[in-house]
Amino acid sequence: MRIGLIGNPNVGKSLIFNELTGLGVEVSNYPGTTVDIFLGTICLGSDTIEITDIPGIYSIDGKSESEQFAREIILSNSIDIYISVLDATHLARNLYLFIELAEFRRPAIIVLNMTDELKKRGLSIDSKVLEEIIGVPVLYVSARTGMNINEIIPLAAKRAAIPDLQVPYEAHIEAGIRSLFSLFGIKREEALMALLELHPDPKVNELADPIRNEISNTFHMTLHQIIATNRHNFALTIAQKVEKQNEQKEKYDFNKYLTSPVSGFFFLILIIGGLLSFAFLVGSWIDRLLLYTFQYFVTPAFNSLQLTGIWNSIGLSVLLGLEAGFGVAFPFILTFYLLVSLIEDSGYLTRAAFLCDRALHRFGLHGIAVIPLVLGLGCNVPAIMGLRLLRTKKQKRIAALMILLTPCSGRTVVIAGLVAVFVGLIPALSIYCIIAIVILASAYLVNRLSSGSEYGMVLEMPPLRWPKLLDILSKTYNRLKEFLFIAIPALVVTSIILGILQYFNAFAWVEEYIGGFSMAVLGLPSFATTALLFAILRKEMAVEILAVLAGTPQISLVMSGKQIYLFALINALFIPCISSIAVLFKEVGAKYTLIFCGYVMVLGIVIGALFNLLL
Amino acid sequence: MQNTVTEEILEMILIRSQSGKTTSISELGPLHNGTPAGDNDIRQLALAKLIFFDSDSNLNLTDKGTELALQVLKKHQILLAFFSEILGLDDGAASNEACKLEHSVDDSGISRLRGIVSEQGILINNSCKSRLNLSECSEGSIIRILSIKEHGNDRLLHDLGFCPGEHIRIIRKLHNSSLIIEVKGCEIAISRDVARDVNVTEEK
Ligand SMILES: Nc1nc2c(ncn2[C@@H]2O[C@H](COP(=O)(O)OP(=O)(O)O)[C@@H](O)[C@H]2O)c(=O)[nH]1
Ligand SMILES: [Mg+2]
Repeated sequence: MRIGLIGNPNVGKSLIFNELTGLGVEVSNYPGTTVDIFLGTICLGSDTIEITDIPGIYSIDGKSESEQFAREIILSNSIDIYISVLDATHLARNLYLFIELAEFRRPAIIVLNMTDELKKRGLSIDSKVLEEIIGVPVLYVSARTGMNINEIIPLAAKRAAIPDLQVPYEAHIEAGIRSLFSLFGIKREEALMALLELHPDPKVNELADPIRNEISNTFHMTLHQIIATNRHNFALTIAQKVEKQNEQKEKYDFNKYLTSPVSGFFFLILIIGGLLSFAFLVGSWIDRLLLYTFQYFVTPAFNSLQLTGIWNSIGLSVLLGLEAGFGVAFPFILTFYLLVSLIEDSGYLTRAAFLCDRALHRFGLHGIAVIPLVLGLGCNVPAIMGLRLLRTKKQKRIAALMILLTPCSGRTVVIAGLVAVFVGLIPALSIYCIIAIVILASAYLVNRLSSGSEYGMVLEMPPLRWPKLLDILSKTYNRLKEFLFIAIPALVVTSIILGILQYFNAFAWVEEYIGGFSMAVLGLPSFATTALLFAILRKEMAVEILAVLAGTPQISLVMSGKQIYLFALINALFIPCISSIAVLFKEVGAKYTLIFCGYVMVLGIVIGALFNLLL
Repeated sequence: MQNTVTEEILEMILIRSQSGKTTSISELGPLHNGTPAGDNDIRQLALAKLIFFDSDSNLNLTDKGTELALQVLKKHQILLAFFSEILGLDDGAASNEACKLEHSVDDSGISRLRGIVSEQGILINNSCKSRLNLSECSEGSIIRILSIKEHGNDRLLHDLGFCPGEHIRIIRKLHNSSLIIEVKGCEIAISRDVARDVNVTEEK
């Protein structure tokens, strides 16, 4: 049996999905996180049940990517039973989507989530009456407290029913539906699709053309506008029958300080700046702790083994790889992922989006772009995937380039782990300033050069929520997994290979080919430039390989302060990592991937050369 | 046309007082047809007992003045509805035409026009001059949606509950830019260019 979770963005579908399947799907407090489809299987008695987390949508009739996707799922009959997750605190708005689903006549149950917040607002919903009106079972749950979560699947499997609802449409529309049926035998739900020009068969849409034109001429409104209004009104009458306001509770609303013109920007700088410095500071403590552990415990232990020849070389390489991975990279990756998860879960990002909307209009973007840009500070890959939040191609392109230039945690590792540690905090921060200028200038340029439509932001702002520690930790762990189980082993292997090559003195050719260019143009020793090339695998590999090639994590012993600074600066631009190139390819196509990557590389070399001359 | 200017002045005072504002001579400013309100016109109005000055030297309508102003305003609304809804002129042009004709159209003409307009089932707004777009409204105001331009076939606004007849509240408006709107109990942030596509009317 196949069961699908369907609902508006941010109603708790992913959280429910996680609790049902035990899988780690990302839960976030802003609309539009689930962009890919997630599948999980569980057992109920002797049956296996496949559960799908359908991306959050506001309507099945919409034109966005996720809405089209959801429509295809529904039309293709690939799901047997729908679990319609509704945010109980906004019942009327949420019922709109359910009404659309009901019109497709699919078996469903209703899950009223967020019932814990319902009580806090002094509201109550009579689920029995709702059940009677709609004709499907209604279950009260709270994904946050875990209430009734275990009841969901048994209820869906046993008692799901086809909703018994019919929206009373405006008389002209009803007449249109009737005549489509009497003339061509088109059923009600298909007639509605045809009137909305959404029927998968274009011929059916064409049959409805005359009716559609006549109605929209009479009302000076599109059919979608009329139909949507009718559905909303119907949803409202249902909600009014079942909702009861028991007591008026005036909630203390901190939100207003976050969005007001003066204090809003103050908090924006405070929150982002505060969290960044926190990540830097805590990262460097952990960094020192781990390096200390290596220096005083692990290395002496290794030395006491007294290996010789090539084995000593290999052993040292493993040690160096681990030291570079854990000692240098891990602390900052950890703190950055924690930080990004925290911002994401609180719902603050949508406030930041609102505040930055105006400024981003100058670059052809709008506020929503803040969300992928902030995510880009953690890792560019999910950030580029988050570009789907933007609706026009042009906006996607501009934001894609901005993200590609955004220093991800990998690049931060190099900046924090090298420049902040060996050169100083101010130089480290100056790299961020340079990058910020580069990002803004590039966005301005692309905006000027590319054509395409622009349309502003429409973004739901979910209530601010205190993130749950467990959610944040599990999310951080999920994101760290890749680093721990793929990147670190890869690094150790690379380190061993490099160690062996060095043992046989195989790097002479590098010296020959890269050495001259490297020293003359970038002012870097050849092994540093080689390390920069390794960043294509993962950006923080640059510093790890640098340590491996230099033979010590104490980089200041082999490079001058200026060289370290240039190294971090060039690495912040230069080659994007292979994973981000891959997702970029998927999101903006081959042509722009090529242009953007080329641009970033040239920029890296030019800026590196420039600063080499200037400093 | 002396008549035009004086009628415009009466109408303006009426509209301002309907939205709770007082009117001093300097606030009369240029009228719709561009001519400034002269002292002469105001003196004339006062002599005809259509307006009087209160203690703050603001202009006020007498009962007779109010009646006359209401007549002109009604004509304006009928003309506006005719131009925008039946002839399909855009809002600005329809309003300009209505402003020009409201002073010269005669009563039998206007009553026929009213017949045509209401036959078509078109609402004549009580106060059509309060028809605004969302970006012109101020923070905290509760407004009713009249219509929305469907932009680039984007259906999101309607799906979120921005429908004609819906009451919405402006929770936050940043200076000259983005707004946060409460619709159906949810908070939606929108850019100014989106707000411009939403026609609304302020509720009293
Ligand atoms: N108070 C409360 N918050 C919830 C509940 N369910 C989910 N949330 C929060 O709502 C936000 C959105 O959840 P998510 O699962 O990502 O929603 P999705 O977009 O529908 O997948 C997260 O911040 C959750 O912690 C609930 O039952 N009660
Ligand atoms: Mg989700």
